[in-house]
Amino acid sequence: MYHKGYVALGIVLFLALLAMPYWVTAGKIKYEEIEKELAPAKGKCVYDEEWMAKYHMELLKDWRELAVRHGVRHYHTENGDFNVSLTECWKCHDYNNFCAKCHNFMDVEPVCWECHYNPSMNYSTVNYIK
Amino acid sequence: MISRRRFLLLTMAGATAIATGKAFEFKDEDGELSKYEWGMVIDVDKCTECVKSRGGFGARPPCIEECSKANNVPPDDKYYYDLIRIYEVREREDAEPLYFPVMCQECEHPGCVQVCLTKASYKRKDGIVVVDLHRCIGCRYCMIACPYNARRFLFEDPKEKLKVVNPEAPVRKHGVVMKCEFCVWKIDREREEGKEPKPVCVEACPYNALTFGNLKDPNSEVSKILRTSKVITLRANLGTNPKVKYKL
Repeated sequence: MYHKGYVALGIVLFLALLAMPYWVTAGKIKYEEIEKELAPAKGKCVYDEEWMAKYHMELLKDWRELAVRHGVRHYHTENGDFNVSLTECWKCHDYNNFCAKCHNFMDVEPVCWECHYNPSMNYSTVNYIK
Repeated sequence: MISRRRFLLLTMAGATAIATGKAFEFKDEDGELSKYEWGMVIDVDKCTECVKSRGGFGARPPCIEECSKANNVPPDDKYYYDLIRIYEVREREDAEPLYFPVMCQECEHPGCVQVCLTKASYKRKDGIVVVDLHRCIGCRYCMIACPYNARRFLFEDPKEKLKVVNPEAPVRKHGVVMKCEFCVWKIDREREEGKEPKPVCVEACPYNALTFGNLKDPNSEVSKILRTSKVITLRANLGTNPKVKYKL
């Protein structure tokens, strides 16, 4: 192989560039910093707070699979029974002062709201939950 | 010392055992759903009476109004977005018309599911054909495959035209296909709450023309109607075996 050194260096640089999101911001933005400013929840969440703060997106992904693909709308944990739906979040959380505030701080843009309703949208709603 | 032949045989046997074991191991998440087979019987005489009292062809009966409201179907002048379409049927040219409300027929052998490129459309264990909008790329093959013209393509963003939103159902974006799913979000929730599930149109009908129920349960209202009266399915020659049946 010709120019072994340059090739190896190139590969290392390429991988480093590829992994940029990990080493540029990794560990620098912490949700704990904004945690106190967020609006308190009205009830108990599906799992404990720390787990939910880190992995709520995984849970929502699981719920999406459950509700859309398997028709399961009931979720039981040690904290109670939950309806597998995004509407379940608004029962306890304020959208603007909890979800959006933290997402803005962490610089993440969930694509959920392109197709799903959230309370910050200016619509009147009908409710079929009786 | 183990011979080479025996070593190879053992590794192959081990690998086969692991592979078959993995293949047989499956999660039965749909077990609850396979107890049900949702079906609907529509009384055409009552529908005809209702549509006639509202001025004949082109009327918007309460089932369509309520369906659009519940499933976030945007109002539009340009395109027909409502999930139920009313057809006028006559025996002869001068005969009295019959009005057939045609929504998705929830076929047993759905053509739309067969052609779907991304497996976004699929048939659940309880017989409902659902579009997973997270996967739909809007190619519209399913609309071509559907013999009942039951699917709609969202050409424009529904958010601009919607006035009332049902948070439980998806609001959707432009560029996806939508269809009647027997109000899947409602009947799934009600089933697990232990209630008798009913789609919105069935509850909204003032004439009680629509009957919804479990075809696998011999004591359900739908099964009783199917046993006692004569029902037809649309375009039976295609072999799709729809679960929406029409009582004449």
